[in-house]
Amino acid sequence: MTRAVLSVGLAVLAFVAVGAAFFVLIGKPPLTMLGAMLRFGFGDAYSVSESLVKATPILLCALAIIVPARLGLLSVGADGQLYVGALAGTAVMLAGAAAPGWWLLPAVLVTGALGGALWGGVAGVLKARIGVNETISTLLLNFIGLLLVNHFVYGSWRDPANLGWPSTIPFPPQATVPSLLGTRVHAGLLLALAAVVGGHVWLVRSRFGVALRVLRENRKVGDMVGLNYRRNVIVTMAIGGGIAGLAGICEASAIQGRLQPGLSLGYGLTGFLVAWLAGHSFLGAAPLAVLIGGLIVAGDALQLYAKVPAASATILQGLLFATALAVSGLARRGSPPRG
Amino acid sequence: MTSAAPPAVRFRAVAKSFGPVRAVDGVDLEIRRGETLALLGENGAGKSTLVKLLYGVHQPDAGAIELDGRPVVIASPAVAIARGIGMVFQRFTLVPALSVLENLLLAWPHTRWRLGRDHAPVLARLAVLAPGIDPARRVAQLSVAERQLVELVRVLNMDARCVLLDEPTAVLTPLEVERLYELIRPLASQGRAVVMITHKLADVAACADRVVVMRQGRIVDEAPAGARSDDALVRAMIGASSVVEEGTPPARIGAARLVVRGLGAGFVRDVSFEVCAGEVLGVAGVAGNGQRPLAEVLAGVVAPSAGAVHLDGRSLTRRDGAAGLDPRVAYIPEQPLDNGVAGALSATVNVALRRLRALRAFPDWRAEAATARELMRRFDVRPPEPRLPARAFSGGNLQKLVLARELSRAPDLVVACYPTMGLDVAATHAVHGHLLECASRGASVVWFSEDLDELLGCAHRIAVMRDGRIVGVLAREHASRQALGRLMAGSTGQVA
Repeated sequence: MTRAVLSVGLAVLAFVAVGAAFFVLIGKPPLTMLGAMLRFGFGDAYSVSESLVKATPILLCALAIIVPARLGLLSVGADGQLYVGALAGTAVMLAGAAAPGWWLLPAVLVTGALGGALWGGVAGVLKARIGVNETISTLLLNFIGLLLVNHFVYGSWRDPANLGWPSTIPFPPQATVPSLLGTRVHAGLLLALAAVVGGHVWLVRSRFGVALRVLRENRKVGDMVGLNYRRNVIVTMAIGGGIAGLAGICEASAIQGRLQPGLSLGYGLTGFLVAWLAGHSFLGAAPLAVLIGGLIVAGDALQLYAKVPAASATILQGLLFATALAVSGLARRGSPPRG
Repeated sequence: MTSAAPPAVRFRAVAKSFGPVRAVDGVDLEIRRGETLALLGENGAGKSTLVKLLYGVHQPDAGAIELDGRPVVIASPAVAIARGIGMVFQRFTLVPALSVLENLLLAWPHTRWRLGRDHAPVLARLAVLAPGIDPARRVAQLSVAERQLVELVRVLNMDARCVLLDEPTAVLTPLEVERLYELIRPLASQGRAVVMITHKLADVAACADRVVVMRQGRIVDEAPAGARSDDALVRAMIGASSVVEEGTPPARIGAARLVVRGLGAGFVRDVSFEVCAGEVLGVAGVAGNGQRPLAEVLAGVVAPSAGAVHLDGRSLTRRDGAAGLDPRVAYIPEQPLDNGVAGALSATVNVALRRLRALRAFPDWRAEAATARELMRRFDVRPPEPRLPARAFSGGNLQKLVLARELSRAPDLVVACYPTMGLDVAATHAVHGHLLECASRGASVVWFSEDLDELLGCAHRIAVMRDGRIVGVLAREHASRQALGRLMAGSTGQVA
């Protein structure tokens, strides 16, 4: 535990050093810039709320990657699952928009999760039945998911009132994920946090979670004691997909207010990196997602107020991941060997 | 060598702990050129750890290691190899997907960027040690014993001036052991320092110039070979506890329980036999003659290609998609770390594995840990700490952990594959005792082993496998090493 805290501390220090070097390189005062980043990311209530808004889909996408990873699967499909989840939930919203019932929001959310689960499940079935590599299939399904959404919002779902702008009609109030405390932070964050805590207990303490670890460690032994690898491939891929689908429908409903192209700002890939950095732990993913959310918000703000290039946020994010991975790799080298 | 020259290796007050376990606890030891040193001790006595410190696998917590009188830090096996230290592990380091020749070429010190055409020098030692191994075969297809031999050839090929052998004879047949001795003896006379970790007194008698006995991380005895009686060495190894009497199979045998008819699997063909209640059927044979496929079919790990297996009239044959092994069967696979446990998971989980599917959705892991601790005490797994990951246990203790899981469930059929391979005297006796106790409770036991003395002592009947068939079954009264050896080798081979 102390080692973990130490390595996070080291990672932050390394990132500050590398980040400062980057600012020097682009001719900005490094300390001022780093201070501004901290302020823009977490300096006041508004910055914190915006960071949490960004953190929510990243966290859900990270969880979506972690569940199959507990079985040893390398899914990169959170983005596609996010899009298909949003698509499925939006379909229910369109069908029920006229009805004023309270049930519309739960129906939209559940369908969104099911859509994502379907998309994850497709990769799971391909892997379990015919051995298609899950990394390749989820990568390709990402494109299909994204283009499916484009197909509908450019096509039959386009709201004529938008005068050519490709998007659906706005989500009616009874299908909108409620916001919290008058900010843009929405109830999806609560869902994500509940998933973090519940999922952590579930993966670490439950028979199912242990069965996943047994299968990841030694599939032969798992088979001997009656654990079904193929079924668990499908189940974990579908559960992961469901979580990503939830991210998609929350983003469409609460943040964008409609389904339109460009729903995900690379949340799937960012979530993948967060999952990796968190060592595929649900608990570890939450603070990391908030940190990355803050970094994105700060990067956007710097671009506006400090006139740094638009790519700066992405570069800083890349530097953060690279330093964090390097530090955790170094920490592993220093730890006692197994055996 | 003059007496003034420093020893090849000197350990000075070296210590190494893993968590609470003091694996090596202040060891002073010299390893001299031109001498074969036998390092004796029980499983978990610290022999392997001590040698791995020299090979750079682990770093000592305290003390120093000197090579030729100069203190050195051996940060990794690569450093050790560069300094002329070669090691043959219990766990093998060959590349399974490559052929025997390719594996040997990988480690051949004179290999340039292009693999040469003349492979004769690379294969010379292989031809001596294991003429039966085709260099073109892939390592994945070799049996455990064959891999061990290739591993050994690989290290011998490196011309190391200090050769470390971790239980080199543990998995070899008597004939292979003799050949190995022939290879080891000249190593020392050529001026190398040789360290052989073992718990077999026969190894000491055959090869060693000096013997060092370790117990609980310390050196408890050191003497020239031959200066100690076997009894004295065994007492030093196991300490105050007395030697367990060798078990004998139960006298009463009941009706046939296990019935195997016309079984085929892989290259195993047409195997038929019966095993009665309370009976131990030993299966002998040179490794790689079909023992593994037969064991896996009997246990229900894989489905047979032909024939049937019945236990008490009910089929044991694995159906596709079946939910794991039949609960009536206890299966003790060879190489438990690869085939019997999930290495990174705790002993608690590994002991509970066979019941895992029957546990609640949220099992009471504290109760499971208590159960595991109790079983670990009963089966003498050391340390009896259920939270440790399975891979943290030494070979013998890991085997006892698997036994604890499998045999505590009162099985009707026990399929045991090389259950005492690599185990020390005390642990071997304990394993024999547990298996025979299962038989005396009425279970049928099928016991694969390459240790003929073990089978002659414990089995009612001994079947011999060769080329995928059972070529003979000898009753205990009529069996002898010579008779079994003749069957194992076949008409064309030599007698072991």
